[in-house]
Amino acid sequence: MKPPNTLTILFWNINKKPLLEYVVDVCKCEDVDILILAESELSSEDITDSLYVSGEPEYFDVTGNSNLLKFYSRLPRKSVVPVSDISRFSIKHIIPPLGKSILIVAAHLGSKLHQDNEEQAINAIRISRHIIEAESEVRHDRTVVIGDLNMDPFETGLIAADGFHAIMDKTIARKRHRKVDDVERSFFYNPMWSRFGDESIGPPGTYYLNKGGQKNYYWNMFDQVLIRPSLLKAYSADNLTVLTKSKNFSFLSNTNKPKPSDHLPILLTLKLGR
Amino acid sequence: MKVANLWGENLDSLKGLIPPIDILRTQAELLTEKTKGRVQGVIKKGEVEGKDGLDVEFVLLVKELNNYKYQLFRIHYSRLVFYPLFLWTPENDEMMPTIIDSEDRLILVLMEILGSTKTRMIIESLLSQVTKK
Repeated sequence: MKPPNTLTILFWNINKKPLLEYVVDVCKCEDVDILILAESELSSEDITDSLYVSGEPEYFDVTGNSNLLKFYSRLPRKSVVPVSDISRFSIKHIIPPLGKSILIVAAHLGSKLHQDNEEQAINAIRISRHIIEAESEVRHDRTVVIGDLNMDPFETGLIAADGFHAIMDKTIARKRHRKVDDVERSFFYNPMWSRFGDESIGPPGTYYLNKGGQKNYYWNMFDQVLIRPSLLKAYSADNLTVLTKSKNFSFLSNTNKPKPSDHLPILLTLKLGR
Repeated sequence: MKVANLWGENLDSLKGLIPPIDILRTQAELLTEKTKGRVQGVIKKGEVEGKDGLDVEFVLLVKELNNYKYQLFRIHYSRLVFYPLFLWTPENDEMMPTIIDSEDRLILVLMEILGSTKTRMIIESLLSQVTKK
C-alpha cells in the first residue's frame, strides 16, 4: 500500500500499438494515479473500464483538448485542472485532496524525422515560455515535465538556459536559477542523466535505434522527467524507473530492445507532503 | 549623364501589406467580441534571439476556466519580408508547415481554419464548460 500524499505518474509512448492489456497491467501493478499516453489509439472507454476495480477510485479521461496526449486520472475530477493545450504539450494543474499541488507538463515533442536539432531547440524555447507563464498563472513552480521529448538529455533544447535548462546535478539545480545575459533563468533537474548507459539503474535508454552511419548512439533517452528545484523534496531517485516489465508482460524483446512499443514507459512517484 | 530608374516598373503603385500579426489580432478581437469575452482570442508573440523571425501564436483564452489556454495555430515569418510565411496547426505541427506566399493566401487559409467544424467544436465545448460553471 502506497503512503498517503504520494502521486504516481506513468508516461508511455505506445507507438499506436494495441497495448491495452499491457497498460492496464502496469497501472494496476504500479498503483498509478495519473496515466499519460502518447501515440495512443486505445479507446478511452476501454482504458477506464479495464482499470476499474470495484471499491477503488475510478479512472477518468481528463485529456481535454490535447491532440496528441491522452490523460487519465483516478484523482477526484476537480483535482485535475487544465491550464493549457499547446499543440505538442499539455499542462495540467494537479490539486490532490492531500498534499501540495503540482503542475504536470506532458509532452510529445517533434520527431527527429521531421525536425532538425536547431528546430527542436527553438521549439524548446517556446515550450519553456509557456511553462513559465503557467507557473506564474498558478503562482508556484512545483513543476514536473514528463514525456517523449524526442531529444537526448545532452541536446541544446534540453540544456540551453532559454530552453528547458535541465541539468544533471541536484546540488546545482537547488540554486534554483542562474543569470544568463542579465536574466534569471530557472533550472530543471534532469534525473535521466543518471539512467543513461548500460551500467545505470535499468535499461541503457528508453528508445533504441540502430540507424548506422558515423554517429550512432543505439540507445536514446527520449522519454524524460524534468523536475523543478522546488519539487525536489518530493522526489527520490528510487521513485523514478524506466520500466522493462509489469507483472504479466515484458516490454523488451528477446534481444533486450523495447518491444512491443519502440519506447519504454517511465514511472515517477512524488511524495507531495502536506 | 542621367542615371536610369533601376527600381523597376510601377513602384508608385505598390500597396503596403498588412503585417500578418495585425490580421491575426483583428480575428482575435472579433472572436472576443462575438463570444462576449467568454472565449477570448489572444495573440502571443515570441522572438528568438539573434533571428529576424517572429513567432506568433493564436490562442483561445477562457478566463472563467482558470485562464485555460488552447493554441489554435501558430505562424512564423520574417519581420522584413512577411512572405513566405509558415503556419502550423496541431495536426501538422510536427510535419512540414503550410507555406503561405501572399496576404491573399493567408486570408484564405485563416478562413479555412477559423471557420472549420473543428474550431467551432472547440469553441462550443469551451463555451459549454463556461456555462456549466
